[in-house]
Amino acid sequence: MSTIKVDTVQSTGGGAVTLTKQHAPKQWSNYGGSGTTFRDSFNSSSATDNGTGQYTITLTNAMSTDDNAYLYTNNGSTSNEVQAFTTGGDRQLANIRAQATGSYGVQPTGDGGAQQDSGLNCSTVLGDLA
Amino acid sequence: MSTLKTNTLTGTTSAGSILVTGEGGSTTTNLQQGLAKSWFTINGTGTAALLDSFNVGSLTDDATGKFSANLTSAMSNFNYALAKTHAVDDPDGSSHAGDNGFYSHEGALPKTTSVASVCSHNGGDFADVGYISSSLHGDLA
Repeated sequence: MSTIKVDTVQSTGGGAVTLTKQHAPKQWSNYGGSGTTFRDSFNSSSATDNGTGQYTITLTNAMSTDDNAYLYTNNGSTSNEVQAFTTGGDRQLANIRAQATGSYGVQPTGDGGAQQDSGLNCSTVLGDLA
Repeated sequence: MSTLKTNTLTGTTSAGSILVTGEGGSTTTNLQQGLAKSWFTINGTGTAALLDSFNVGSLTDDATGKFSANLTSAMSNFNYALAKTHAVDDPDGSSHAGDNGFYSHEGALPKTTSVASVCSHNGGDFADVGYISSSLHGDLA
C-alpha cells in the first residue's frame, strides 16, 4: 500500500487534475424553510429567502457555465425537520429555476401548485468551476 | 502528461483535507467535501433490492413506499445534502406517472446511519416504485 500526503493537487501545467472515474460536486447545501442559514454546506456563500417557496443559493466560487446539473430535493413538508407522512398530505414538488454560473433558485410547490416553504432543502451542483 | 499512481491520498496539514485546482485553473475545490459519501439505486418493486450502491451495507423495506438504506460508514451529522429521484416507470413497464418522491425518516429527524426514502402516487397513497436513486454529500464520521 502506498500513501501520498499532499495539501493541493494540480496538473503539471498548474490546472485541474483528472481523478480517474471521479467527478465531484462543486457545491452542496442543506437549509431550512423559514431561515437563510445553512445547516451545512460546501462552496455556498448565502441562501436568500425571496418569499414563500422561493430561495436563491449563491456560490462562493462560480461555475464556468450555467449548463450544470442542478439537483434539488426537499422533505415534502412545511414543517421544520420533524414530520410524519400521511396519505394524501405533506407532499411537495422540487423545482430548480434561474440557473446561473454564480447562483440558482429552488422552488418547492405543494400539490395544488402553490409555492410553499419546505422544512428541509438539499441542493447540489455538478459541473466545471470557472 | 504525468500520472501519479497511489492507493491512498492524505492531506499533509489536515489528513482529511486536500485541495484540487478547478477546471478554470484558478480556484480550488476541496476534494473530500466534493466526493459523494454514498449513492445507491433501489428497485422498490416486489422484494426491494439494491441494484448498485456505494457505502451502503443493507436495505430495509420499511413498508409500502418506504425504504431505508443503511450506511456502512456513518455520517458525522444529519445535516448532509441528499439528492433523490425516482423513475416513473418500473422495470416491469408499469407506470407511476405523477408520483412524488421525498426523503425523510417518517416522524423523525434524519439519521446519520441510514437514509430513508418515501414515495407516493399522485393520488396520495404510498407506493413501491422502481429505480429510486440517491447520492449523499456531507461529512463522514
